Amino acid sequence: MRLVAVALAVVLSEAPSNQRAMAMLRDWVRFVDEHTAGETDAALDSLTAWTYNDLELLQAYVEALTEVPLNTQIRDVRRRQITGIDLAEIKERTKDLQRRGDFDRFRKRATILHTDAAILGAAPVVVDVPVPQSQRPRWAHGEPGPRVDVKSFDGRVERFERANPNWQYAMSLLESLPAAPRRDRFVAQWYRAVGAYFAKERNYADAVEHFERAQLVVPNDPLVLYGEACLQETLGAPRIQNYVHVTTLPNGLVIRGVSSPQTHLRRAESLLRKALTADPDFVEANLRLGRVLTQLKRPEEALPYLQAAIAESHDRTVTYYAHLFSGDAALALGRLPDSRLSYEIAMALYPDSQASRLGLAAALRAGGDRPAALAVMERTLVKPPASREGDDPWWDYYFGDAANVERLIGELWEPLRSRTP
Amino acid sequence: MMRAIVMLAAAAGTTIAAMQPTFSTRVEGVRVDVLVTDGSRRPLRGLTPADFSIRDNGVPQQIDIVSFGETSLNVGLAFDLSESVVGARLDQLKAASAALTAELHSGDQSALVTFDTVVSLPCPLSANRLCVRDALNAATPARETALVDGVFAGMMIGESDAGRSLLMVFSDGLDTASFIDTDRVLDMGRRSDVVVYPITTKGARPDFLEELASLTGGRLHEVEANGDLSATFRAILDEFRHRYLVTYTPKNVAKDGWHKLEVKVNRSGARVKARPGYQGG
Repeated sequence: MRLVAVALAVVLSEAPSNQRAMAMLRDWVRFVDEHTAGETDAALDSLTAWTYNDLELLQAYVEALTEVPLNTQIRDVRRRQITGIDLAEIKERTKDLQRRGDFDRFRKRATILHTDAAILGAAPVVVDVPVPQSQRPRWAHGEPGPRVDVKSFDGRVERFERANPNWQYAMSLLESLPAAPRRDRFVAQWYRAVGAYFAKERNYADAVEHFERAQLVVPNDPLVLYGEACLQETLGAPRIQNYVHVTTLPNGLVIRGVSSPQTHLRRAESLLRKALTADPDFVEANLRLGRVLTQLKRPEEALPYLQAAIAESHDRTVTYYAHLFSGDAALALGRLPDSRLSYEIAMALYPDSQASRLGLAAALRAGGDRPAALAVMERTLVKPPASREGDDPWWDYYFGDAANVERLIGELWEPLRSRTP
Repeated sequence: MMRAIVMLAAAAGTTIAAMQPTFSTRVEGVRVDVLVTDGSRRPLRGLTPADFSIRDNGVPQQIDIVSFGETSLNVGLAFDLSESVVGARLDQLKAASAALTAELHSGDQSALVTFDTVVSLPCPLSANRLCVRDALNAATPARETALVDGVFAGMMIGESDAGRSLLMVFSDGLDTASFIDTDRVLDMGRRSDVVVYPITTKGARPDFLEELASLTGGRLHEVEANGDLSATFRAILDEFRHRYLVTYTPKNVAKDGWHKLEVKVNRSGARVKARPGYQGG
């Protein structure tokens, strides 16, 4: 295998220029220069007009131009994709960009271009149900094809989509930014903002890969760790676990990235503990660690974290969650008066919140007061569902950092709107 | 599960009661809903207390009362009205509910809990037959599925009245939005008299509903996507109406903890379905 690969590389290095790829690369540099961060402009439209196959063809060229550090395996693959003539020209173009000044800004703006292409551009390409390698004819076996994601709503499979390659571009470009003496803060900022975007979009397929990559480049950033913990908590939640349990995909396909609830909750615990080590005053991390520990059937351990969140929180929703989950932990411990009190405080913060009322009803019922349990539940349940849509922050809990997504993405865009600072 | 059947004040007279600390004693009875069928799954009628034997944690118990078809019913409906139930399935649900309420007897009550992300109680427990129909006609399936929350609310409604309570849960079986933990509702099932009959579409594999049905003495029904829901609903009601309500006062067993129940009927070929036990204390 190795011999074949080397031979192929030699052949390619002497091959003529890939005119199309080089023309696309020149256009790509122009798009980066002309795009205004956060806007759907001509440059962005031109980029998103390229097909996913075009983008895959170009990726090796962009990585070479921006000097993305690659591991040996990927570097070998990429060398097979670029001819020697083209590589020499790309090196000259890199020097030009460096001479132009602030090459890192160019790389960041390139990251933003692809981020915007994914966020503001067309929806991902819908594809037919993929056929796994094992079911393809022998002649069609080879390198695995692009990742395909399954899109579902309310437990039903809606369609299959090809993974958007713009995210891969953005992550690679971030890796081109200097790692020493310390990683540019833009990298962590990007991982947090885009992680929040995936949470808002419930895009768990990209989110899993996103945070795997984040671990390599910003392994100790508390906000990124928190984002991944939110993802792990969601993957361990019934909403995902039930879906994976009952869903049978066609062609023997399997859903990747989802393990047992305990596995995900333990990962979330570990990430939140790391986040708290880096930032002990991180209120939301305390809150979520308390919740995760309760889910892991360790309510006694959970309560101090929830109390810390209550003590430090200045946000009504965070305080609501902390009281709500304290009610759960106390109920699990059989401390019914504490549990009732916690649910009552949560209910006072959001009077028509369904979760606080169901929790309080459960606590009252556990204490034997069924009429009171029924009354507390009925007061909200008799109201028409359509009038209650925004009544309970619980319904947004699993969206993690999504509530902050506009601010976080805005903060990414703001300093990079134009080519010059 | 443990309902107060007999409540005795242990006071000999008001004077003494006024002079001495007053204690009350509560003797709690256990009710067990029992389905007895023959080999063709037809309900066996005419059984008396002498035909039944009950062991509570292995200890034989004296049966106090056996009633059959005499008690009015509380029929709770907990319906999934999330986005996955849009279209033909909602129409089937409306038709099946109409068929069900038409079979209710005078004295029976019904209630409707609907759930998507939001759990709603458009019809509290009452004798009003039209409420369920009107509520379903006004319903617009939307959002996600808080199945566990909906079942919790349905069981609470079922427990709110001393009558015999049936809870029919219709869902595609996939919870995506609940706050209440499944373990809490299963624990509730161990302590409740409500008998749960879930109806789900084939392929949904709802472990939670299957376990809840088993714990409460009910039975899971799986229907085809376009199957006859009306017939299923009527069959469940008929089966529930033809169950025996067996009552006994536990003796020589600890009050707290899990009580394993063994219910037998001394008739050849009789098949018995009852809850496997109850949580005391």
